[in-house]
Amino acid sequence: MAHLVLNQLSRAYAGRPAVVDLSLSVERGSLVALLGASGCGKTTTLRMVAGLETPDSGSILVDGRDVTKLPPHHRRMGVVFQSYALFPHMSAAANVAFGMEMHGVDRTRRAKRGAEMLALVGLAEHSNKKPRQMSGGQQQRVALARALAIEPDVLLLDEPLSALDAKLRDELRVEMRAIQRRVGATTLFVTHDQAEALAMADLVAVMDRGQIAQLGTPVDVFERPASPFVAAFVGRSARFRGKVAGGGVEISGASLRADNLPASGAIEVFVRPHRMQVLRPDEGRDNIVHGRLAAIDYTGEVAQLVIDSPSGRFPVDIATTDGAWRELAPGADLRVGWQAADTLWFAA
Amino acid sequence: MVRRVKRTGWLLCMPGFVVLAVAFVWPMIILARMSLNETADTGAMVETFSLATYRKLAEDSFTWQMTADSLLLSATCATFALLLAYPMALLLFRSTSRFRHLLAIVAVAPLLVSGTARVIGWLAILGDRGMINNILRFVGLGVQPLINNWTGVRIGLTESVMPYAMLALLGGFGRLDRLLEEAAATLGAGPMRRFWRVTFPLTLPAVTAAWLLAFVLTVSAFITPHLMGGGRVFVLATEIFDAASVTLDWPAAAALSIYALVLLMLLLGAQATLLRKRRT
Repeated sequence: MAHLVLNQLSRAYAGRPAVVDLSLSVERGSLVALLGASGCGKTTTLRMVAGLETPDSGSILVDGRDVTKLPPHHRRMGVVFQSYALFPHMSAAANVAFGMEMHGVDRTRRAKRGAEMLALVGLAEHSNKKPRQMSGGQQQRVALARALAIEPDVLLLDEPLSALDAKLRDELRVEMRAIQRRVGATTLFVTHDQAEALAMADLVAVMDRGQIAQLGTPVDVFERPASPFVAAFVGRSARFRGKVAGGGVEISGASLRADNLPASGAIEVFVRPHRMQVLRPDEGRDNIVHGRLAAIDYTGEVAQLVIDSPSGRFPVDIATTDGAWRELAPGADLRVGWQAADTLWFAA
Repeated sequence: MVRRVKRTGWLLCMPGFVVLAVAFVWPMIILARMSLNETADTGAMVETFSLATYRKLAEDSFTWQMTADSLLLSATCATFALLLAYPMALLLFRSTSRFRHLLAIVAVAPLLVSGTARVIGWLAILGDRGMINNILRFVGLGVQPLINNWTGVRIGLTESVMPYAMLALLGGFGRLDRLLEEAAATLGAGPMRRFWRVTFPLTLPAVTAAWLLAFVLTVSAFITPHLMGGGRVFVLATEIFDAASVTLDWPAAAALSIYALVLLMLLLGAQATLLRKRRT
């Protein structure tokens, strides 16, 4: 039996649906990311689990127990808010102890467990500081410690890293995941950052207009997207429209090979930019498209090329390791190739 | 970004300083000078430099009684005004209704009515033949004296400072954030504990500021004690008025004014020190 079960949850605001018939099961100790653009209903879903929002219909089960009608203070959900929502008038230690006090934990145990929690997030020396005396990253850790201190049934993280700068975000991502694994907290994690979702989650639920477009492992949603929406939302792609003809996909100026194609019909093809290569004259691939280099952006590990072809403009990423990218200049005519196995397609 | 203001920036404050100097500092100097004059037994003013007027006031037990009454009255009214204004201010602060601004205007509307007009309104409500006493008579509780006494002054003053308390509270609720209460709820706090452990402590600075404002306003209030006390309520402001325009004892009026001013400044100073101590 899954630890947390969302059963056909729906919620509308003033007639505008935010979450539609959403069902999801989260296994004990696993981390599920709700990934989606803003307004896709992911935060509303999280708030319904926390009890801060009432679903119009559907139910929420924790360990098989229906908590749909319970107010938030009877639920034991550890929530880390996007802006942390630390109590500004309390020290870090008092913030962490607050939930335990509310749950009737006695003073000595509160102090002991509070100190443990702050040590867990690496803030043992900062227990007497007020939130405003701490950096964003430290506040974020206090928020996590505060949520974990009540030994929550479920840990709910609402874009917990989005207010931090990029470098700190990457560090804390690793750290949070390690802490989550160590305490074994069943976790629902809301994010709009696909890298964050792929890196941290056991399962990713890609959300679109209040529904789950695909639920799968990070590898699944990236390598085997279930729909054009997921393919377009998770990661970048080159997209071509064409028709199945003669065992391949006819696009303007080329015929593409792909696995398991149907006999006929209109088709949309997706290729990840890092799966494509700029070919030397003597090189061959299953699929080859000719195009002209429109722009080139050096980003460090890769150079991002923008290529104009008869079937449209598309991106190609090439590794910068060998320095070959230096020889490319806008305006150059290129041959771009990739293997049939790297061709994702959807019936259009 | 903060830009360093040039050294000539203080010139912009000059008009304000000039107004303050002419309309406030200069009259204060005249007042202080006046308080050092004496009043002869005939009632004539004697120009001199002495503390005789202050001595006379200090030796009069009535001064002390009146001081105690004034401060107690102000503290009571400020407290009641705050108790009444706080829930309203909180409701307004949190309201997402589109009538929110209208409600805020209604809440401070009493400020648009002159103090005298409001007192006349109170006479109709609190008088022996007023609304409340008519109801009391009807249910057989008899007539209660609700005006021309301390009760009347308390009611009137509380009502008159309530809008100010509201405004001060609303302005000071800035740190309040709905999300903090939600966070407290997810940590297991029910509505009461959310209020007392999170909301109220965060509004405490606003409460203190609003209480002080209400207190200062009631200490210096004159019209309400004068008109609703029916000549039976003696507070600092009414005494100053009587000395200045009824008995024409200007040195006494001046000395009382200076005394009231120093008293308020001492109280405010003590309060500020207390606040600073608690914060550290």
